[in-house]
Amino acid sequence: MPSLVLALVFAAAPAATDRGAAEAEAPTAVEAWTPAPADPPPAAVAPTPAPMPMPVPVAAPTQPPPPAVTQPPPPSAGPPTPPPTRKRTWPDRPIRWRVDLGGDIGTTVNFDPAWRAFDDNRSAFHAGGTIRGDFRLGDGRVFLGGGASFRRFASYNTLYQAFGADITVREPLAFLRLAVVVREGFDVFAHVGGGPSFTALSLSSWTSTYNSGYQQAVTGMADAQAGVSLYLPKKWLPRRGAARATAGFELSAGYTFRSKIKVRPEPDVYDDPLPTHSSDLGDLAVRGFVWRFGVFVRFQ
Amino acid sequence: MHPPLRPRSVFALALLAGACAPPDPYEGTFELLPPVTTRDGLVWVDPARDEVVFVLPEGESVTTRRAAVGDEHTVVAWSAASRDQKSVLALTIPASAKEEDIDEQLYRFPADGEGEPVVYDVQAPFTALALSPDHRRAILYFGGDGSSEQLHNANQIAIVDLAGKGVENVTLNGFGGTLKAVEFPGQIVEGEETPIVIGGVAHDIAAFLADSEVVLMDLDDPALDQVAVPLGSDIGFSPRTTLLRPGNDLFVDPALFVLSAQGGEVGMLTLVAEGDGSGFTAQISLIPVGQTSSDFIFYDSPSVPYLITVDAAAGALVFTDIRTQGGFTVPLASAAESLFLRDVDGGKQAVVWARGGTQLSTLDLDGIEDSLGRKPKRLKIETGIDELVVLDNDRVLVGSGNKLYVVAFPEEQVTPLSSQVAYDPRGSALVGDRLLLGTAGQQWVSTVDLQTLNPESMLLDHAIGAFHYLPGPDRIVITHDDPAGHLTIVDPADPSRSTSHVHWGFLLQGVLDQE
Repeated sequence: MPSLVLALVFAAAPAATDRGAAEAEAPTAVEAWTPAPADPPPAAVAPTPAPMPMPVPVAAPTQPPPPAVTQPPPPSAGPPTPPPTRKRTWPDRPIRWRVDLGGDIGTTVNFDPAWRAFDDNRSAFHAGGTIRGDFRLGDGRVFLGGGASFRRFASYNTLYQAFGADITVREPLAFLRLAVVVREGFDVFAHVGGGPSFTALSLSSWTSTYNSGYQQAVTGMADAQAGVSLYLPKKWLPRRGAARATAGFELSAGYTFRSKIKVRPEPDVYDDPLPTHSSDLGDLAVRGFVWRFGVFVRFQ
Repeated sequence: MHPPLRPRSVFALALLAGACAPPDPYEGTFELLPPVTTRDGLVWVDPARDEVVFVLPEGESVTTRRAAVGDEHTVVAWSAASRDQKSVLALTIPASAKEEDIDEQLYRFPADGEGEPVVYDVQAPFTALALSPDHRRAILYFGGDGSSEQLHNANQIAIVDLAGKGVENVTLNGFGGTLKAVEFPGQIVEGEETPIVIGGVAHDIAAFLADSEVVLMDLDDPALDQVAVPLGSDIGFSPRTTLLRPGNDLFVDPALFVLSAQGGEVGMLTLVAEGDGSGFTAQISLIPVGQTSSDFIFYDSPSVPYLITVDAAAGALVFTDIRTQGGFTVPLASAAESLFLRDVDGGKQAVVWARGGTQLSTLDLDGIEDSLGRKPKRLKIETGIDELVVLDNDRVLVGSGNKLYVVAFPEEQVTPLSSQVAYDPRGSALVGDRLLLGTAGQQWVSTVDLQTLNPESMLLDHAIGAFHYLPGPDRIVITHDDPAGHLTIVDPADPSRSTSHVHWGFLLQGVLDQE
């Protein structure tokens, strides 16, 4: 009789199931940071049974079963089941800070006509890289941070079918960034920054002889952009609320200001030259609307 | 009420702004007219941008000024400096045959580029310019190349008052000959008015040389009747140049001599007043002067008014008494083509030479009428004469292959200066007793102290494109072949690398500041 009671208890026990699906309905990592009433811990803190492994084939018994009076029957028919293994779990980590590594491309639309001396159109394609970080302000959805980036663009043009002009701009940029998590995976952000702009330009002319002049200039640069970033939210990641890394892309637009360059390339000369003077070709202001597309990897 | 701009709209507008760029301001070409040398600097005309660029050396720097000339409907056909080098002239014509109702205009800019230009309406796209030696007038005409106009009046001219704003558009009253050249034969002294007195009335006479005729006009009063003189197309008389002898005690009436391109006769037009006193007319005669006449000059001995001509075929000077048309010949026994007079010991000396010849011949004219057997002196130029430039009254510079000869007449000295490459004596300037030389294609500026005849050379950093001397700042300016503008400024008093300096890119000055 006691054996019968034990068999009934095993038969009435609930089957092992994947409770992950039920957890998907839980709040996201960002939303979870919002203070909740003192309710019992959500289901996410409940132990999560691992899926059952495939049964392992077992050879059939070769000896007669023991007498029923001395051995209770198995809880169910079929081969014996190995002991269940528990799936590894991680505790949720609410997002307090984020660090991004990214690369971007974009275009600056220069409105200064002088730019056309160096490019046959007004748009300058640039590429660069960024490292940035931010942290949550209070318990809200706003993140404040900053970072540094580097971008480079270059162009070449022929003036009046007689002169070659090229320009290369390299600029490190430090910026402050304010981001609002509209929904985890979708941020709206703005950043303002500035830094030095290192410009190298040259002018060359050629007929029966070839002459060229070269100039390097360091000017000030300020940049303000706003945009959106899309990234994988934690709930889409294998570790879900505990995920430490994600990735995404962002699109932004704004305005980049650079102070004017007084263009006066110094002519290339041979050894021991006559004192050689160049001329002031005018001012160049490489500034205008900018748009940017970037991809990033985020650690949080 | 306008709806507020949304970020998406702003982004779209930014993209649109990048895509819809205005025209490239740096399209087109950059082909400037050759530089014009003024008293103070060099002046380039940029036809594509309708600008005149003044480049003025000042100390160690170069000042660049720009002035507008014409507009997008016009183009600058040519530019030139006035004879006093204080002004720059530029003629604008319609940019294309499709431009209508566009008048041709002559601009006169101050040489320093400051101030507004004077603009003259000249009514035709003239291709040639004659400047009066007295610096008062310019005459625009169609030269031998004619015009690209569908139909043009070959004898149309414009007389421009360079001291004021007046312009006279005139058609010559000739006999059908096409105008070839314009001369101011009465103006002998540079910068001075030398009116020709005819019958007690002063006239400023210009000679217009046509195929076989000469038209004379009083520029002080273009309304006066023009005097057209046919010189005989039947005998092949084609005017080449003129020479006006003012009247004096030896020959009272002014006489205009006309040299023919071929033949052995010189036309002599004796200018006399009209009977009614309204103007002047010409009495024509042809003077036989040997087989040919390649150059001429007048010379008054104490008692005889001579016309001296060079008979290139015979290698002789021909002296003709213009009163009687009688004369004599002085054989030179060497090639003769050109002559000039120089002052010597209170008298005159004729110097005769020929391109390709090997001698300079000098003949003292003092008492020539009484010394019929006088023989010329000869100065040998071993390697032949390519070019001859008169430096001053006592010296000439002869270019001959890779040699230059400095000829000093008082000492009868010929000094050869050898070089690795040929020198062009036209690329030279005489500053005091220092001769400066800069020949296109070379990389040297050379100086010759004419007192010691010691030459020195200074190496430039680039080959010479053209050699200019600016009397205002007293500087030699060497231009180099570079559309951006490239020149070397040399102090003529101390031509050395330590005192010279180079400027580059001045023709592009301010190029980035255009709107």
